[in-house]
Amino acid sequence: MPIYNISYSTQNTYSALSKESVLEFLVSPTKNDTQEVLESSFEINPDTPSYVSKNVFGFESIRFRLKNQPEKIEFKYNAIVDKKEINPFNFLPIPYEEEMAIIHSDSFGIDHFPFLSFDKYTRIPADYSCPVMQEGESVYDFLKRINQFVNTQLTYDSSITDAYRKLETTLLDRKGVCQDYAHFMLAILRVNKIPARYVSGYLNQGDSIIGAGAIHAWVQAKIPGVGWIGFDPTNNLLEDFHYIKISHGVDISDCPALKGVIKGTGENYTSYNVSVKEQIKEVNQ
Amino acid sequence: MQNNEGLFNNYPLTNNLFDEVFSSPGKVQDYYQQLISNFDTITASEYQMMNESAKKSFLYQGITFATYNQNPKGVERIFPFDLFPRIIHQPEWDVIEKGLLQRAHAINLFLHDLYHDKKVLKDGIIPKELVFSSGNMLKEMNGFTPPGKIYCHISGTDLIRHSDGNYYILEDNVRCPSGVSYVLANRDAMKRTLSRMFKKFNVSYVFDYPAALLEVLQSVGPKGVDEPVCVVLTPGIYNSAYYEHSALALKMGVELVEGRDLFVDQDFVYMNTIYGPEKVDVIYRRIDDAFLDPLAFRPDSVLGVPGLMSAYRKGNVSLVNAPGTGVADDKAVYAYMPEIIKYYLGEDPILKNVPTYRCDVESDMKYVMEHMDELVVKPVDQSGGYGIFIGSQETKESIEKEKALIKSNPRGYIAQPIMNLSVHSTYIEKTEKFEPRHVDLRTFTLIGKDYEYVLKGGLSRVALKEGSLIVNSSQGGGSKDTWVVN
Repeated sequence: MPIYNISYSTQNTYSALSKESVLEFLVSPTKNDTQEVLESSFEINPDTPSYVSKNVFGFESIRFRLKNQPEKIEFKYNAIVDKKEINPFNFLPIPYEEEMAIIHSDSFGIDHFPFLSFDKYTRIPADYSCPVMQEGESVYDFLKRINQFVNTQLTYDSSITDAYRKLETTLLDRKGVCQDYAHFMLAILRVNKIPARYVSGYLNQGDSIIGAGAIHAWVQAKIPGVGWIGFDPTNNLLEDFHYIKISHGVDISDCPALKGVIKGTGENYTSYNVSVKEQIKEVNQ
Repeated sequence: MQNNEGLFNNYPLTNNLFDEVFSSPGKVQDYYQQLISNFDTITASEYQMMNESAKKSFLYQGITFATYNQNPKGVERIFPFDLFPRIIHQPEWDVIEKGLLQRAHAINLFLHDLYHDKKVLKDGIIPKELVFSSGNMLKEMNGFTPPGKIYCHISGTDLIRHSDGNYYILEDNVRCPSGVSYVLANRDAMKRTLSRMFKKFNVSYVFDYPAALLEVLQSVGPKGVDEPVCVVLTPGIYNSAYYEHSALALKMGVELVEGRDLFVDQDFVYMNTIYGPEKVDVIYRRIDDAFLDPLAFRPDSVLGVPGLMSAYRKGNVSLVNAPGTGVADDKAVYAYMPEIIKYYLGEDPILKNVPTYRCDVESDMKYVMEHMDELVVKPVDQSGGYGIFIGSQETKESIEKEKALIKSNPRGYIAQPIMNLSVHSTYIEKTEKFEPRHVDLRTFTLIGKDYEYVLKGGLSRVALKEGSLIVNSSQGGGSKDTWVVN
């Protein structure tokens, strides 16, 4: 039962005073079967009234409305999360024929709207030959294969700062950050009729794991008869207790840590910091 | 019957077209008889004067609209108005009214199903790809039920009359249909200009529309709100229908607001007033889905209200029409409307659909490619008459171009046989005579909680260019007052 101390902080600077702005932070870990939020708190500087709102998928965000917005806004969020040490990959798959029958049934596709749809983040370019499930390959085996495939196809490039890159662009330069890995994998899975969703969250990073100091992104796919299972193509890992989920959605547009609507003419610069620390380790030392 | 100087002298009848007024040369449809005898007493110069004064009254009242066709900035024009009204005979109207209500109810059931169990897709009535690929199916509406299960409170259904004399549904408009203010303005102009003549006819009134609309808005207020505060949300003065937004707000006695007048706090919507913030319960929004809330949809929208969708989904504010209704008036879905009506209501459609070919169906595509010169091709996601391709009026070269366009995106196009829109005697300023011009009919149907209403008549739109079939105001069409009389 690892317990994590999580902190997210951001600093927004604006080159000019703006009349009004609304900021929305989607940074609070969600509560589900594998994780529980023991404590959480946030502060904003300058002090501004806030409220918590749920998005279409039921995830909670914190919203602020600022009038005559100052040139600098700081936001800090802290949480203590208890993560269960369940192995989500310890499941019994259903027989292959049954699995295929479900995947190819109309109702399965209909029930999983919108996690089978394509847009600019998840549409595979026409000239790209997309990997397909092999005869006899189970959904789980295919997922593991694609997780590795995506990992090897792209090179991690932390100099990319645009979080909203089209898949087309990613496939052109074969580079990306975690969002791009996730979108690429979502696209391949959806082509193969496997419902797949974009996940944002925190990653308890060891030394060799990519995603330090940032909100991480990975993928959850629906295995017929089993449920939603997570894959991290950026690191070619499976989602386990090191992954603390914030939210899921169709793609990045449902899950950014910060959305801002700013009425004004100035430029906007954002810097942020994320840290995840495991409490138990500290106690043991 | 007509004197020699009459306005209808030498009125040309066209073969193969249904003339609303004349059943054959010199022979007037029964229910137009009285009207024609009245107009026959007016001389051309008298008529010209009346026409001018009606036009001026539109201009002085600022009853204008903007077109985007040639000038991207939009040009303000008055909506050309013809004083000679169109008559719809009561028995025919009764059928139309029933058919419109049937369709509106079916569309609401369809939308509720699409955003919940999706049975219509599972039962194979409509291919799921058709709906999911439309881009108008909003995930933000998935699983959400608006008050009274009403999505589409206001429908603007377009009807035409074919040469067989039957009315057909040309298209459904269930997003933010416009035009109703012109019906009200046309009636005012008619009464003012031809008051003595108007009184002789027992014309069904239209002035109750704003009250009916307010009734609908109030009937779908959030739970527990007895007297909901309603507002009209407009994109602002540069929108082509701004006159309508302001006229409806004024006539309903509610505030006309822009996005910047509203804000959301704790998932409630407030408007800024000089007395401080006031809670808003129902928004009749005339802003497209994509611009409603920059936090939920297009982040660059400056027209909307950040946080509106969460407030809506929480049930703290009602939106009229609901977001995501566009999936039901998609022109490819239109082809399935007869099946949709049967599926949900177990009834045969009262009003007919125009036969429609869907270019993403192989056999339909083949037919379309081979019969381009007999068909009208329409993009499925455009409104206002933009992008319409009429095969018979195009050169071989442009037909080939259009074919390539369709092939590159079959889902994006439907085709229909060229329907011979009926013609109606219309005063033409250039010739100072009445000539036949094509007309259609935009109707307005309202659905509230335990409440329904159809505006008697509607907006008869006239294609003023000789031979033209495109009646949209954005494409230079005009309009007529439309009388439902017994």
